[in-house]
Parts: sequence; structure tokens; C-alpha cells
Amino acid sequence: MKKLEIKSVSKKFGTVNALLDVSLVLMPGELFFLLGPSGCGKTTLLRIIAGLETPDTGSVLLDDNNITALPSEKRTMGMVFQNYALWPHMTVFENIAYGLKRRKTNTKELHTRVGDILDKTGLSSLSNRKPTTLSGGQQQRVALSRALVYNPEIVLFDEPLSNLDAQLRGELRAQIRELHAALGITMVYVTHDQEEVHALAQRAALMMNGTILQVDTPPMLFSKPNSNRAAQFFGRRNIFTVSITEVSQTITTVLLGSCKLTLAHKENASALNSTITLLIPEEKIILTESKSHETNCFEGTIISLEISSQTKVIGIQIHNIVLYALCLNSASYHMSQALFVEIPCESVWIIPDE
Amino acid sequence: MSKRSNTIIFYCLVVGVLGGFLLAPLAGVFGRAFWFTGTFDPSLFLLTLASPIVQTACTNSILLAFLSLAMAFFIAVPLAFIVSRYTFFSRSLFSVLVLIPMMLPPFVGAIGMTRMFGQYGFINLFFGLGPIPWLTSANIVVVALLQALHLFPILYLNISSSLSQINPELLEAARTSGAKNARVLSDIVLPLAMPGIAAGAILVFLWSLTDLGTPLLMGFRNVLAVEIFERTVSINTDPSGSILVIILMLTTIFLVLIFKKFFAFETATPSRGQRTVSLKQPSLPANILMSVFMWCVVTASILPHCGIILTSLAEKWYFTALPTEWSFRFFGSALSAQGMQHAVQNSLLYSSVATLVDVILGTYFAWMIARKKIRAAWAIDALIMLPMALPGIILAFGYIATFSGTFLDPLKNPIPLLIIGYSIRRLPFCFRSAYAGFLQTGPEFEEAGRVCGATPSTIGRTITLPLISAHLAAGALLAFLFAMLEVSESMVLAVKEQFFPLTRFIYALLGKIPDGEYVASALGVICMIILGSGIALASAIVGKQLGKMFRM
Repeated sequence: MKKLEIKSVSKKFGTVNALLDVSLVLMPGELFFLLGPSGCGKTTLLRIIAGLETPDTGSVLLDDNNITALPSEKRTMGMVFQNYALWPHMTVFENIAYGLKRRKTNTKELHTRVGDILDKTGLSSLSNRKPTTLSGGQQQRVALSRALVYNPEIVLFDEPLSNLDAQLRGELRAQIRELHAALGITMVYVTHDQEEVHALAQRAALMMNGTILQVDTPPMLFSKPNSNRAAQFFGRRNIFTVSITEVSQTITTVLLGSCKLTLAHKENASALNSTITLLIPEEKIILTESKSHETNCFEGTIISLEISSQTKVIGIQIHNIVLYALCLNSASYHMSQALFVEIPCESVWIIPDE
Repeated sequence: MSKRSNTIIFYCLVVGVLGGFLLAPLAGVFGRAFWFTGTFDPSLFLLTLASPIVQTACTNSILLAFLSLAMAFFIAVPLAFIVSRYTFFSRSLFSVLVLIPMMLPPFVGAIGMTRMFGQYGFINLFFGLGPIPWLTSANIVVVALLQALHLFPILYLNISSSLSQINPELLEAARTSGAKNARVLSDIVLPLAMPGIAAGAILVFLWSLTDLGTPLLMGFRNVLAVEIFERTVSINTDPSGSILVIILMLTTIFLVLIFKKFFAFETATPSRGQRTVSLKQPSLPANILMSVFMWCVVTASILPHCGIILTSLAEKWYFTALPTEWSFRFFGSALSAQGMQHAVQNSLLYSSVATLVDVILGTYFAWMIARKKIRAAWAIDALIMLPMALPGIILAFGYIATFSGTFLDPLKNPIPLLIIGYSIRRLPFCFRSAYAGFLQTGPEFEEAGRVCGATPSTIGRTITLPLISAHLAAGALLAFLFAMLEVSESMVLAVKEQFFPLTRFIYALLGKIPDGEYVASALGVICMIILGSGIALASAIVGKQLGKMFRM
């Protein structure tokens, strides 16, 4: 298990800044995610870690050893590519054995180790097949086996599940989780899929425009984004800029549209009349048919319903604002229905200024 | 090797090879044309330009090229559309037969044509048409037709390669948007296929514009290529040859720029996982109609070949449709002709060494441009592809102008310059095919190898080479075959018989021995067998990708 450290790494492609002064520390054995929209620099950072790109400035340290100038082939890392990158002229066995051959592993051990990983990934019966004859899921398992077979110090995943269907994605996520638990290797995983982060990540870095916006655990990233951009990336809808109307020792009151909203948050007296940005998580909003509290409970009318397989998002007009609430599909609501919206004061998150 | 030293080697090779043997000879021609008195003097250039002979030659050359292109279009466009969209009787056989015209050995094609279309040729006698003079000597339409029948496969390959790359989903999207077939063709298919059409058109045009063999043999001599050829002997005393080369070169550049202005030259690479076009099954009458059309085209285009084969086997063939007596003896004479063995050896030596150089340089240049971030890659790419549009005669003329009197003097020993000239002119085939191979395999296969611990040389040996070997083989094969067919440089540079390659030997043989026509035809048949097998092999290896090699 190795600790990986990225120190002030920057990389420019022509006039485009792919990475700007990025720093990160990955703990030994951690399953760490690089999350962000397309073009945010996450794959560039992964390729720098792999040694496939050289940073313009900054360094990459593995257990405090500077490996920035070390060629990729000397780094002992495994990598699973987005399009698998399986060599079409080699069989499944040859693809997996390639890294061991490069390490001059003796034939007996090579066969044992490839056989073991083929068993673990359920590919034993396909070992003599060419990659082009395999399904997407099988190809991905070959790519995974190839990256793990020589016991790398770090395993890198570049959006490995993006080409698979939902069921296969689920199966392979489970397989990656099991392998990580069994092997305890430090893993870096690039994705733009928040679901994948929730399902697998121990910690994740949210990247945007070549910089890291936030590093945290998935629940914290999702419920307590540290910037407006981060909140928007996670698809948060209830983001409001409000003015502070009252401050006391224990609570702060703001004006949300024409409603008075109380927050479990202390502000200085000097903050009075200033503006702040709030995030009211959709999943924390409680919908009732009668008024349950005097504070933070507002009457509204349903103006939209977005139904997905398990949940629905309800748009509620409260005076001059629209608030979105998440509830299970089993709950029955209909358009134009009048109801009460309760916002627990401790659930509201004040997004820090960038 | 560090990235920096690799880049330095690359630029040194580009400057040394392409600068020294492509740009410098062209500069040498300019020198002889404008500095023949020791100082810059454009008066002779302007005088030559105003000469009625030169003006007629220019007009004839351009007219001939346009005619050839129009005829090639007329043949190739429907062929490509039918082959890329429909399945019909004998489709797979046709896809091989359509390449046969490309392997017409120079000079003997004209013999075959005369045998078939002469006043007392096969067509007139077989169909009892009387002595119709189909081939009136020095007729521009006949020369253009001969060139079109020889060159249309280049246009066909380019267009069908372009069509095969069009994502069928784009056509389906147009159909679901309400476009009928004609609209889909005009709005989607044609604009997307335009780079291929334009690339093929420009090559056919330039090859016809600068073709020496056909006009020379058909007696249509007032064209630029023949005028230049006739002036090579007086290159050191008369600058008019150099001036004509410059006129031809400027015409070439001007026309390439016009083509580039009006047609996009970016070649679309198919996206990953793209579906391939599924062939439509036409109705029975349509199927028959297509097959008939295809066979008509094939028959017309291989008539010269049939004429050559018949001539090579004819013991007696006077005023009859077919020979009255048959014999293999001309093959014996061809194989035992004095100097033949030497000519074959020379051709094999020049072509194989040139091909080896092309494979090494082409692969290296392609790798650097496809995989490394090279500055001015587009300019180097254009420079490597320039010989595709550069007439052999210009380059050969440039070599004489530049290297006469040096250790590379072609009059003393033309072998080094012949090999270099062959290499430079066929480099685009190997470069383009290797480049296509690199683009098609993508860098991630090599990156996966690096992450697995392989060194760059191991990756090259175990991953890159096996993956692009088919492309390299096809490029090498085409480079070798076209080198074996080379005319212009051989005619200009190989003056002494001991240095004659096969094509130059055939030309010499035609006027030298009583049975010259028959023996040359037998040699032509041997050439056709070698070339035919080669092109069929290249086609089998790379399929529709073959068209990409003829892209500028």
C-alpha cells in the first residue's frame, strides 16, 4: 500500500490550461475518485499519475519518492482504460500475461498468476479467445485483470464503466469494490458519474476547469458543497441568494422570497442585511398536508412532477419562489395540489463564497 | 532516446531527405531558369511563356487533363456509389477486376489499344464494321480516354473509401428528418464524400497533366511533359527545359490551390464503434442492370490488356479479328532478350531498395506526426505528400539540374538518384498507410503497454508493429509496384543501357528489334501478372482502406 501525493501540478496543452496548480494527497489503500465534468482535467491528472503525460510544473510523489520524471513503464502501476485498450492481436491470456512477461516472471508463476486472476474474474473459459470476440463486460474484466495481475502499487481507472449498460456497471462496481477490499491497493478512479462516486468512493476530488474545487467523502460533497459551482455540478436545484434579516446568538433568519426562514447557524451582528447563498437539499424537505410547525413551514402548490424509477421530484410554488422536494415514488401527489413544506433548519447549508 | 533528441533527429531527416532531394532539386530548376546568365534574368522565362508552341502545349496539357478527369469521373462515380451501397451479382470479383487498369504497363498499353481499336483491329474486324479509324493518331480524346481508363481506379478507390466512412446513422438521421433519397445524396452523402472525391480528382488530373508515356506513344507530342522530355538532352545548354518545368510546376501548384479552395481536404476518420454501411439488395432487374454496367466498364478498361495478351501470344495476326496462329515463343524471346535479365535485376534493385527506404522513413515520419506533438506537423505532412502531386519528370529534371557535376551526377552513375527519386515519389504511399495504421490503432494500445512495464522498443516490436503490419505491407507493396512501373524518372535519368530498368528497357526494345511489339507485349504480360498479384494482395490486406493511400 502506497501513499500518493500530487504537488502543485500544472499542465498546459497549447493555450489551454488543463491543470492549474493541483495538489492532492491519497492515503495508502484508499479508493479515491476524481470527479468532474468533461474537460475538467481529471483524465490529464490520471495520465500524469500514470506517467503518460509530463506535468509542466509540480511533482508526483509515491511514498515520498519523486516519480515525476520516471517513465510510465518503471512506475509499477496498473491502468484500466476507458476503451479497454486490449491488444486485438493477442488472446485474453496473452493480454493479461503481458505485464508479467515484461517483469520477466518465470513461466510457471506466470501461468499460476494469470490462471488465478482468470478464475477470480470468471474468464477462465475465455483465455484463448481474442478480445474482439468478447462482450463489453468481458472485455472490461480482461482489462481489469491485466491491470491487477502483476500486483501494481497503484491502480488507475479511466472511466472504465462508461461504455457498459446499467446492469453490467452494477456487477463490475461490486467486483471492483471486492477486489479493493481484498487487495487493499491504492486506487484512483476517474469518472463523471456521481452514482459511481456514491457507490464506490471513500473520498473524491471534485474538479472543474483544471482545478480542484473540493476534496471530501461523497455524502459531504453532495450535501455540503463548498461552492456554487460544486452545488450546480451535483444537480442541486434549491440554491438561493438571500439576505439576512435577523441574527441572534443561536440562529439566523433570512428572507427566502417573502418567507422568513430560520437557520441553525450563527452569524455576527455585522452580517445583518448582507446576502448569503443557501442550499436546501431536496431530500431533506418534508411535505405534509397540515402545518406541523410555526417556523420554516410554508404553504405551497405543486406545479411540476418529475417521476423516475424510484423517486419523484416535486416542484412547489411558495409565493414567488419554486422549491424542489424529493420523495419516494410510492407517495401520491398530483398537480395543483396544496400542501405544506417544512424545511428543517439544521438541514440548510450555507454555501461559502468562492 | 530522449524526446528532445528524437525530435532533433526527426527534423534533421526531414531537412536532409525532403529538403535535399525534393526541395533543393526544385530550387535547382528555378536557378537554371532564372539565373542561367549568372544574374537574375526573367526575360527568357517571359519569352518562353509567350511562345505559341509553349502556349499550345500548356493548353493541350490542361485540356487533356480535364478531359481525362471528366471521363474518369463518368466511369468512377457510378461505380463507387453502386459498389458501396449495393450487393449485386459478381460484386466481390468485380472489386478485384476494377483494379486491373492500374496495372497497365507503360507503353505496351498503347500497343494493346491499337490491336483492339486500330483500323484493322479486333473491334472493326470482329463486328464487321469496316476500317473505322477509332484511333486517329494524335487525337486528344483518344489520349484522354486511354489515360482515363488507366486512372479511374484511383478516383474510384478514393470515393468508395470516403463513402465507406460515412456513418450510416447520419443518413438515417436525414431520412427521419424527412429527406428523400435524392436529398440525402445531395445534402449528406456528397458533402461528406467531397474530400475523397476532390482528393481523387486532383490526383487523376495531375497524373494526366504530367503523364509522359501515353502522349509520347500515341504521338500527341505537343504537351508540356513531352516538350520537357525532349529538352532533357540539352539541359546544360538550353534553359527552356527548366522554364517549361517551372511552368508545369506553377500550373500544378495553381490547380492544387484551386482544388483546396473549393473542396475541404480534411479526411473524416470513422468514430469508434461506428456501424458499417449495410449493403442493400436491389431488385432483380436493377441487379442485372448494375452487373451489366459493371462488366461493360471492366471490359472497356481491360481491352488494352486483352490486346497485349493476344499480341504476346500471336504467332500470326494480320488483318484478322484474332490471331490465326498462337505461340509462346515471344515469352521466350522476352526472357532471353539481350539486356532483359539486367533490366529486371535493375528494376528489382531500384524498387526494393527504394521501398525499404520508404517503409523505414514513412513509418518513422508517420509515428512522429501521429504520436508526438511535432511543431508544424501539417506542413511536414504536406511536404511528404507533395511528391504525390509532383510529376516524376519535374523531379528527374531537377535532379539533373542540381546534381550534374557532383558525386551524384546521373550521367556517370544514375543508380543513387534513381533509387532516391523512386523513394521520394513513393514515400507518400508508405507514409499515408503507416499514418492510417497509427490513427486506427490509437495510442492507448501503446500506453497500456507502457503502464504494463514495456520499454518503447518492446512496445514497438510486440504491440505497434503487429497492429500496423497490414498497413505497412500494403503501403510497401504499392510503393514497390509503382516503382516497378516508373517511367518518367527512368526515361530521364537512366541514359545508358546498363542502368535501364524494365520500363525503359521495354521502350528501347519497341524500336530496336523486328518483333519488338510482340516481345514488349510478352514483357507487358509478365509485368501485369506481377502487378496484378501485388495489387490484389494489397487490396485483400487493407480492403477499402486502399483508397486512403491515394489521398493528398
